[in-house]
Amino acid sequence: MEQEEALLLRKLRNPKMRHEAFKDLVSCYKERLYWHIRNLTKNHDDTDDILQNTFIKIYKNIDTFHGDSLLYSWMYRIATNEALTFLTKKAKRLHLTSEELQNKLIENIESDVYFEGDQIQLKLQKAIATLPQKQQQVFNMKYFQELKYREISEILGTSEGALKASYHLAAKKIKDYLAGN
Amino acid sequence: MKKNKLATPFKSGFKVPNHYFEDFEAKMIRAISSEQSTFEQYKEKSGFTIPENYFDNLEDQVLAKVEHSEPRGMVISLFRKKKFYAVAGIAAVFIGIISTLVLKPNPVNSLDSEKILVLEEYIDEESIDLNFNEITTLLYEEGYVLDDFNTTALSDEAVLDYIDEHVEDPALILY
Repeated sequence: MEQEEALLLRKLRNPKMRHEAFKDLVSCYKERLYWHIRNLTKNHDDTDDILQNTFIKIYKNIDTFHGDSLLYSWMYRIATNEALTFLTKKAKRLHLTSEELQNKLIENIESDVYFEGDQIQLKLQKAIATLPQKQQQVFNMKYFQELKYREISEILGTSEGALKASYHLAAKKIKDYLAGN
Repeated sequence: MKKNKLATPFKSGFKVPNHYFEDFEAKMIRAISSEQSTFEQYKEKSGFTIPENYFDNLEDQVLAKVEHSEPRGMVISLFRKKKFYAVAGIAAVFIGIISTLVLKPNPVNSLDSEKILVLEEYIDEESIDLNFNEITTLLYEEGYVLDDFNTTALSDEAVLDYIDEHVEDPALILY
């Protein structure tokens, strides 16, 4: 994977191959990043905007990527920042606290044509919304995207031990919520 | 040796289930396609879905946006540096006169970083959206900036020179 990334990076930095390489990059990561963002924003249209902005940022800043981390974790970080900034702005625009916004996002899920989950899945989303932001991210990445702790650690810049503790705490809170509701 | 036939299929004693090889291709294709759509699991687990064919043209959409946002060609300065410094000097003198004689300075309000952030966000979110007519109205009819400015002191020639050198958009000159 690292060799593939290195090759892709070389192509991305070559002006003659950049266009084609970027297309490959989008093809390769579009679904992963989409679901990463979607789990945070819950809504398809918002996710679409953020995903496209994320790729534009990646394209414009690829020369500033020095390979200190893996390319995919760098892209995940951009996507996470874009999504969180978007949510903060949305909360401000609607004069809501981040907690109130989370509740609103969950309320909207029920009438969303792009949500086909059953009552249990809806309840799960409600439970996730009660978690602090960082725990939500960890839980989404581990439970829905099935990323390894090592990968999440690269993306969030948190130690694997702290991530494990965070995930187990989140899972416990969710279980308690589901049991009580 | 015939294609797809093993030389000694039964000598080893091993057997395969009945019809195992008959639908092997179909099984492989199913396995490959399920491998390719690993991300279907997200939908199954979270309940979220996406519009049909959403991912099909995403690359082209993103590339179109990237191309649109890229600067086109190199910007070549139309003016020589010396000329620029001369014009900048004249402009600075004008600004100095206007700011000291015409505009009454308000008490200095220091903006803390939070207010600056709010302002930046206000501008970023395009809450300020004035068209050309609105700006003209603000400048002339509402009396901001140029209310008491004596334009008769400027000769037509000086104004035309200034426009010639500083206004690139021909549409603005026609106004």
